[in-house]
Amino acid sequence: MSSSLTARGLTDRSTTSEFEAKTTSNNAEGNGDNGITNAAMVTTAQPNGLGPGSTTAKLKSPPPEQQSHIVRRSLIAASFWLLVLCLGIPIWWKTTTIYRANLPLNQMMNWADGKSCSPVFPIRIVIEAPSLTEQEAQSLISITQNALDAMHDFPGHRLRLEAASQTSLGGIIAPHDHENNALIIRLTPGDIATFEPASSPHAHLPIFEITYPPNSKPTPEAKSSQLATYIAAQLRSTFAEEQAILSYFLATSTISSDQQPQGSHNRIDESLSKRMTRSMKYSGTYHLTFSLFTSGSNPSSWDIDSAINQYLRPVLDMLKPIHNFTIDTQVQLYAVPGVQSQVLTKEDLSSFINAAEWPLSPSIGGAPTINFVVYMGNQTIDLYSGEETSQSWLVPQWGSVYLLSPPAATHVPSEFLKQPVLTFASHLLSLLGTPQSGSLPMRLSTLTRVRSVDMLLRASSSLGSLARLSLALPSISIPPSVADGVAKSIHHLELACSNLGSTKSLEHARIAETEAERAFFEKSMVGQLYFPDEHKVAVYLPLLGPVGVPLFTSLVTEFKAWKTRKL
Amino acid sequence: MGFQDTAGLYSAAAALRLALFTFFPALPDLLTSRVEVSTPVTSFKRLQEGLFLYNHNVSPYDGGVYHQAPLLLPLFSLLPDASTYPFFTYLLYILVDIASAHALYKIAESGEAATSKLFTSARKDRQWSGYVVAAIFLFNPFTIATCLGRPTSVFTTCAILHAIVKAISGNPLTSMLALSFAAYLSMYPIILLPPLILLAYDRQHPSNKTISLLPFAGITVLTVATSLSTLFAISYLLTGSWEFFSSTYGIQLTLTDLTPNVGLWWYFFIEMFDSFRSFFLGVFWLHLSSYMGGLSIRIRSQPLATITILLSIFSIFKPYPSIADISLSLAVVPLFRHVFPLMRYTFFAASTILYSAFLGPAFYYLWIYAGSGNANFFYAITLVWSLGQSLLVSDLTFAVLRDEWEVERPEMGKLLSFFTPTVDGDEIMARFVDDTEARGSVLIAADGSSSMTLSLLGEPGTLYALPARFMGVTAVLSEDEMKPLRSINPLFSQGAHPGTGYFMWFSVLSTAETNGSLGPG
Repeated sequence: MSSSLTARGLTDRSTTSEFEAKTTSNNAEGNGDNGITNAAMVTTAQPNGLGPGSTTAKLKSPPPEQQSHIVRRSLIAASFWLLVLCLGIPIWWKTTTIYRANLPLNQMMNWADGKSCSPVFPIRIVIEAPSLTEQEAQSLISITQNALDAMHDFPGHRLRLEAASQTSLGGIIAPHDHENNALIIRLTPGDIATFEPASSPHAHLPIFEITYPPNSKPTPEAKSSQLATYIAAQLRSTFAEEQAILSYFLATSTISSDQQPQGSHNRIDESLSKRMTRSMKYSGTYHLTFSLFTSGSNPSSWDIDSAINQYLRPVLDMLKPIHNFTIDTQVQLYAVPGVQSQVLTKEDLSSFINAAEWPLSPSIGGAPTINFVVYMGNQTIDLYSGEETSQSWLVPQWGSVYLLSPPAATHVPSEFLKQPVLTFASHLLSLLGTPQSGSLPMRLSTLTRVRSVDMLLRASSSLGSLARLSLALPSISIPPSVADGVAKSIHHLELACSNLGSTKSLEHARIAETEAERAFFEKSMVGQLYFPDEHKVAVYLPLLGPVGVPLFTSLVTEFKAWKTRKL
Repeated sequence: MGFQDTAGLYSAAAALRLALFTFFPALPDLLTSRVEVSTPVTSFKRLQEGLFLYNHNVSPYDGGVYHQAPLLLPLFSLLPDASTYPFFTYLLYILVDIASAHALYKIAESGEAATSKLFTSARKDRQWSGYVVAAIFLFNPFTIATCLGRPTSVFTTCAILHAIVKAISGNPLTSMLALSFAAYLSMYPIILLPPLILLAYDRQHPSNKTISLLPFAGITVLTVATSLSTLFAISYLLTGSWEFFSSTYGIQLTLTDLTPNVGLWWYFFIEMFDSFRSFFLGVFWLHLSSYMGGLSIRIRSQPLATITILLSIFSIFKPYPSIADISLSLAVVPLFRHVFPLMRYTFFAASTILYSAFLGPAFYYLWIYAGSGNANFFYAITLVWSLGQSLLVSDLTFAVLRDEWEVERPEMGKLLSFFTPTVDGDEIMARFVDDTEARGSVLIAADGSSSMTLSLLGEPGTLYALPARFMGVTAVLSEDEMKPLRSINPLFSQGAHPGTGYFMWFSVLSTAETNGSLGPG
């Protein structure tokens, strides 16, 4: 205990005697040193207290470092550097390298420029002429073919006429025989020349009946025939709309103008362009929502199931090869429309849908939704003209609305819904981009071809954009999923191109389009889009600078010390 | 300090905790929800969630809330439900605290901090007893708050301390087992493996001293690998999938949960560009583990000091730190009581830590609840908090190194405090103010006019003031310049002014450098 007391009693003295302790120790050290300098001698001649701190610093010269300490210090520096080199550099390399998968850029650009595939449809038209001899039929076909080739107004279509094989003459037409046939023409002798669609046993195969007066029957020697010219003209008018739509797609696509059919620009119809922008974006599946909105509490139920099955199902079945549909229905009471006025003008129609309050979700699953709204209220439409009262209108790329005056009963029977559902069916077709002219099977087979071309062009243009993007931005990362998508897309494009015109082609074109879109809109690709190299300094320096300075100075010091030891 | 029964200390600590649990029933839940106490990887609330899922035969990691080790679940499902019978949970946490304190007590009593195998501090007598060290841990407000907040990090703390005590007591395998358990619970303690191996190697029983360091390290690493694999296998059997890897260690490695905490990571990774995120995660983890090698080499002679410094570094730089980590680092720092006189910034470090401990919750409140502050308020205070801790750890490192240096260079910076003859009377023992001592047969005092030795002998040296003033000037002159002066007198000259009485003196000193007599040696 006495020891601690003494220590305490003496601590206050420590400050006063500190200076002496310092000088004595310095002298002790200095004596052991050979390098007594000039300054040191001068200082000793100097009176005490004139600034020993500054001069004693010069005196200090530590004893030589022990070998073990030198080794230890090198080891410590090495331990940090080992970590940096063995772990830090690999981590830096691994995590900041921009991964760029190899893309078949030439192939992609070729697709975008339309060099890989020109959308030419070999449209096979089968002529069934049971009343004609084979020779007569052949001559008729060759003459008509000549007449068609002479028109050659649109290179996208290559109409090819063929005689029906003898086996099918008996009227038994197996559907798969006709998979690649776009049209069947049946020739029957009659009084006057007519051309009209006929009902077909196969819903997807358009058949035209042509009756011809017997005198127009071609002779094998004739170079032209009245019947042949007639058929050619009819065929041309039949495919006129399809040609117009195809030209429209080609014109709006990114394919360079020299690949486009000449003069196609002129032929783009205003109404056609309007119709095309009105239609939904293509999808394999659509979701149809049928909604009943009533202004009051009545009616509260509707027989929509049977109405759909009765009036809409046949159309949906016809569309099955092109689209799938899922359906749901809903009833909403006391629904307030977006426009309250009694008489709706043309301007009101666009704001009639009460998007804020009506439960019309934009898209339920992955599939785009088409909305069909039946509104039971007292409102009427007035289109200024006065004479024609319309009850329904189509909302582009969204769906359609039908106004009904409410019935007395709380339940709406299916008969009451006939007109609305039939209207919806026709609106559905135009929302899907179906051509307007021709018989329904004809329109649908045209839709298949039109949609194939549409998808093909979209996929090609996406691929082209992706190729240009990857060339323009060398710092953009291209993950393997993008390369994968591009490869898949090109593969399906090739398949689609090789059997253009069939339903399979549509399917391939659709996959190609989805893959190309997915590749182009890959999220991880755009993350680093705008990250110039100067910004990297700002990212690295604030943290790695302070860490790096001691690392590098230690390396330099160690190196210098090693060099002086060597000398 | 005489030995007192530690049972009294432990019961006092337990009573204090029980009283807090009992008389402030809202306090545990309040602390549990504090970000300073509970982190995503230790939170008691999240443990409850995982426990609920586990007891309903759903994977505890479903829902992405529970990020803790799977083995905690069967342990806690043995206890009665924490919400209805919280007493048993409290009891468990109090027992874990006391177990940690007891480990600390044993570490302190072993004296390893000042007297290791390769190094003996000159100040070794100034250590605190185990009783004091354990008391400092048990009554540290951070420890108490941690106990009340019930994060699962207390198990890691307990495992680390037991790993150290087992290594000191010469049970390397048990020590490695404890470390494996700590690493299994929290992953980062695996960084303590190298210094712990050194500690265990230095302190193994003399009987098996034949084995050299490398094979010893191989065996211990193998032990850790085996026990970790066993723990992982048990976890796999418990949860039925390897999902727990990504949900526990994966979260710590990738910092997926950016809940604010007292650490430095969360804000940085909120701000970081996504494309550089993985790179900087690597940098942060490398930084955390980079100290291990350098410190183990530098303070090879004192592995316990390395462990202490590493524990403090963890509590600053780990991804999800909380006050549980600083309670551990503040628990081991008092083991180095003997170097405290060498620390220079204790006041500044302590006040910084206190300042941020009080201001942190206030700023968090301003940001989250009052809405009058933003995230920068809280982050700034966590920066201050980390600054305080890093000051403490760097100061401690300095003190430990200085202590080592003074043993190597005993002549440096000595100040006599007293001397006394030794018990046998043959020698004189001189003790210095830095708690070091020297022995010899004669004590020669050459310490100047205000000599400590003289004053210790009772005759303090005094200075007498003369009625005269001197002013001196020195000038270095070359041989040519010197010639005229030399011609007056080769050594010195003097003279007095008859009227004023001013006295003038000049002397010449020829030095070895100038007269060419400087020898080679």
